[in-house]
Amino acid sequence: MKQQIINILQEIRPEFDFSQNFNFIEEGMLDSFDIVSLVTTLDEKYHISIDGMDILPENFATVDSIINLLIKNGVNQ
Amino acid sequence: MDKVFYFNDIQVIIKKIKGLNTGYITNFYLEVDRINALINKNQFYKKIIGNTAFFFKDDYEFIHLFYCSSSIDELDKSLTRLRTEMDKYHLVVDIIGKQPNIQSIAYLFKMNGFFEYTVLNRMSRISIQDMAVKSQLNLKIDADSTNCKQIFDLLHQYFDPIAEQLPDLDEIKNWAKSNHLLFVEENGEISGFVIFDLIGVTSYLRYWFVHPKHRNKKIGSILLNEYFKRSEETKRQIFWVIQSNDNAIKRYLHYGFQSENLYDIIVTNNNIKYETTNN
Repeated sequence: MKQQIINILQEIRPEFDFSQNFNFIEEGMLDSFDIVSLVTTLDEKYHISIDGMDILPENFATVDSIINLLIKNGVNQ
Repeated sequence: MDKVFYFNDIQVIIKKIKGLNTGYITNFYLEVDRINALINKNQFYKKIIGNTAFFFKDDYEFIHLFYCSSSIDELDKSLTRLRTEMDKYHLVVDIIGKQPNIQSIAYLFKMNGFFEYTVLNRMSRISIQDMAVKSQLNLKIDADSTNCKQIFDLLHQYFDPIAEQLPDLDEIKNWAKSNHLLFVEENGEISGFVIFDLIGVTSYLRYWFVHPKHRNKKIGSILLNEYFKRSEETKRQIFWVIQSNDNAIKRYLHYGFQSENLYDIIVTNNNIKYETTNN
């Protein structure tokens, strides 16, 4: 799943390397527009609807936090 | 419209709307600090119509409208009702996204009594060599409250409030405090300024301005080059430009910016156009 997430992020922002352990929000690699695109893409790809309470920048800050968010929303790892 | 008192109220509403369907659409981007500031200033309101939550930012001269809807059909139904209930207000909506995806939403608004005001395009620049400009001009970063007020007045005189999301005085002071406001002053008057944000590897150019009385003195180039220098740790620089502003776009292309496939179609329920009011 980790590589799938990296690929999705790379499609949204191809100029950045998401395989590194950065905080994508603090590092300015993802902004609020990107997060909305990311939520739509994750909803479609994993056939889920990410809980509206979870659409907060900290849940999209790293690949691990995105994976945790997906698991919380019913995706099997 | 009901006032929003807590950020959590917004989250609860979005949770409810988003849980209804997988066709969720929105133009509402959760920037927590910014929204909390609006709530504290009593500028943020909500209204739920059917399966759509509308949020309103009171910009005094008009109201910015945000939508969160369970689907495009639900947005259509809710907009029809919103139109009758809110017709006395001047509403402005930013429909942001990739082309052609956002065209269908813009069409929906137009079918519900809105008119296209203008279109913005996001441009970005991957850091490249700056173009040195020699000058004797005194570029400053220590804007005091008088300078900030002058800059506030210039923004409100020369920029378009509907298309360019003008900051309030507190926001200008915050940029000055963080040294993200550079300006040139001659005889006590501001002749040009640039305002920006630095967030990690991304720099956001917010406003770049040269007073008409002081054009052709290279003030704009000096300000922009200083902005590039201060952004040299970043990997990309971003800003929004009005798509019909050919001269500005030519200038930005000259500095190495490129157009992204990210657009902001601005619609309003008043039949006015940026290109008419600003020419």
